[in-house]
Amino acid sequence: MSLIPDSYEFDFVGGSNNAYYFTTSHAIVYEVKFEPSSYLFDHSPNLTVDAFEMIIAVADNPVGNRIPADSLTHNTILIIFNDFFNSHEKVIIFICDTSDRRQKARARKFTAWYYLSNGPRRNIFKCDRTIYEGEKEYALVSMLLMNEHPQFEDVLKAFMSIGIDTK
Amino acid sequence: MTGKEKLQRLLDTKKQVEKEARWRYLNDPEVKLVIERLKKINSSKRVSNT
Repeated sequence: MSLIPDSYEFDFVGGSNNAYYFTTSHAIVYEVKFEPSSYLFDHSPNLTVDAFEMIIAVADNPVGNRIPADSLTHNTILIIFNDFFNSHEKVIIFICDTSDRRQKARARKFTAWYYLSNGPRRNIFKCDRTIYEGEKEYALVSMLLMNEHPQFEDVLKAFMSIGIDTK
Repeated sequence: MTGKEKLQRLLDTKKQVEKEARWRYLNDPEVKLVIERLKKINSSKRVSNT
């Protein structure tokens, strides 16, 4: 697929989970998936939301330890995100779990991608939620949707109500 | 499905994808082929550590 300056070439393999792949100069292999997740909105029966959970997975890391900082990786994920997020109806969900206490670092990275992807268009809206279990942070969840989404306000309300009472 | 169950499903899906990514890379012939091609192209790309 497309090769632009300052990014790695990637390929869309497709399948039911919309998988993209790319490799880095360190031979690290990434899989970026967009898993259908419309079930998140089933507490709003009149709403049909084309929602996808974005997941960035390392399929191989020959470096072994911590992955070296690499701006090309950052740019490539951004291009993949824009390639997939190509319609006004789509909604992207990104969740950071708290199991290794690095959730805030991941959320910051995702926020940086958001600001970069918004660029001059500024038509992508991001909404963040911190979900608590008692006093403890359980997860950080972000939703991205375009300002032109035909049901923008309804989707936003439905997202904000996930986890309230039994919804 | 309650809100908590929905969030747990998101987390479980994420963990499952992360776990299966390596398996697909090692065992799925289509994925292997794609990755070998990408490795040849991307190995020489300039890296900036910024």
